[in-house]
Amino acid sequence: MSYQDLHDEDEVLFRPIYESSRSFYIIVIVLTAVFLFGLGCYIRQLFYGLGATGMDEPVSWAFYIIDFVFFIGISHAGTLISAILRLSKAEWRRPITRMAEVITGIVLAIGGLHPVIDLGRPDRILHLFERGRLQSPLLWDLTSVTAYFTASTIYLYIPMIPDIALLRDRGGKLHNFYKILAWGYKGTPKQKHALERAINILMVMVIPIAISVHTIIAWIFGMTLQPGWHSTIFGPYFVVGAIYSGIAALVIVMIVFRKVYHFEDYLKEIHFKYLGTLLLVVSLLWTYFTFAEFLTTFYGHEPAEMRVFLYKFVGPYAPFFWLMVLCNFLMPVIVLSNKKTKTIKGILVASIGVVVGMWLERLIIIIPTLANPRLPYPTGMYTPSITEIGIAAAATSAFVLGFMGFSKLFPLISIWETKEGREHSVHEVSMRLKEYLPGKTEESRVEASVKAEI
Amino acid sequence: MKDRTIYLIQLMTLSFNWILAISVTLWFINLVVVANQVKDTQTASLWISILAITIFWILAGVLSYVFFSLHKYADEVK
Repeated sequence: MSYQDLHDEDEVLFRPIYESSRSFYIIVIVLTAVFLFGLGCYIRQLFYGLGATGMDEPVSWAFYIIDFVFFIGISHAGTLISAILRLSKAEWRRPITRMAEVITGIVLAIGGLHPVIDLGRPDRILHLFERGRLQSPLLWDLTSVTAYFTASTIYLYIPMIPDIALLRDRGGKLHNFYKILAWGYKGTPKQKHALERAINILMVMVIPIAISVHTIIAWIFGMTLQPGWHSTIFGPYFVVGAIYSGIAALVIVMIVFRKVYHFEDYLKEIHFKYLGTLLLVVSLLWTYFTFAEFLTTFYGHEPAEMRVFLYKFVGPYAPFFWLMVLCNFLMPVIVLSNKKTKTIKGILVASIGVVVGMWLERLIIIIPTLANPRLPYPTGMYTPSITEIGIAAAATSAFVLGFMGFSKLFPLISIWETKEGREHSVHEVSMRLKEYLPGKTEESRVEASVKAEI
Repeated sequence: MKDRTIYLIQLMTLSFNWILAISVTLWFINLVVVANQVKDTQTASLWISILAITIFWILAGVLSYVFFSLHKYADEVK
């Protein structure tokens, strides 16, 4: 099979690039309208300052920072999951990695902008470049998010080059665009080797960078002495939460685009079952961390800590707290541990629950602590304004629009990895299995007897 | 579009990564100098700077390696 012959075999993967239904344009128009509304809200905020938001003393961080932590968490869907699956040679990764990496790129760009929005005066970001303190976790955060974004974009782009070359060879209106991005790729053995080498370096690099990003975000909170934040387990707790929401977001995106673009032959039930199991394991891990965090606080019974504790458990934020427990623990565990409910629909419901639950978790971490500071302030209350809701809606729309836009330019499932899987995986996996198994397998016995006869 | 024009555009896009790596380096040097001027602690600054700068330079290096390798081996017989 030549390099170009792939067109027919995996035609369904190219189809979204060349064909758009009417409903696609309707969704784009609706989402663009939501995005423009959010943009209008932000422009209004530029004129009126942060007074246009619901933030006030003592609650000076709210929706924007919640969304920042949430979106950066979702970004762990991609690069981290993709890199871990690649590194562990999990064969079922092949149709998943591209979508996961795209999610990372888009949400990092969106999430990374939120602290700037939160500044009210975006020009003040320049102070960080001019006179920032390297000892501040805020500066580590800026650096690690930028490094993660750069690494993720490169990690998304390099494995995409063979597919871009296929699009270039097909011609069409965007021929020059693909020619520029294909970097002269023709599929020669040495070119393939260079790509593989780069992917191997990147997948090893990306894992510690991804973990550092969310750990540092956790340290922004954990390194203060604020009740509810000053915790040594915040770093790993945030990383687990990020992976949790990341897998859930990935599952939602996979199910939606599988249905819309008819990828049923590529994204099979088995992929969702594996991801469902992964989601269940991370769900239990997240529950363990949450339990450990609250149990330690309760046992210490320190008055300032207990004010925040009670604010969450029985106070004004109790409905959000218990809804979070339902979405992040009860629902996914019940749905995913039962064979009857662990279907694609069930996994979708559990994943939507987890995404909602993880957003609530960010809300519950940030607001109650700020509303009950250690210093003798009166207890605060926060209600988001229409500006904040508009910007949050715009961010979500930007994510969906970004993903839809990507699907119109590049294949959502890696074509060359699928091809590689078809050609080499069965043999490679059987060889690997033989290496694991103790004693001689039937085949090697036959081989040995043939050799003996010769 | 001519091949030479395409190559130049590709080089320009690649150079963005190097511009980013160099900018981060200069920025961190500036922050270390500022920390020194105001007699702020240096140890953390230096270690964080070295780590961050290395990551950006490796990333730019990997991308350049891919770019030049793909162009170098484009005419190799399959």
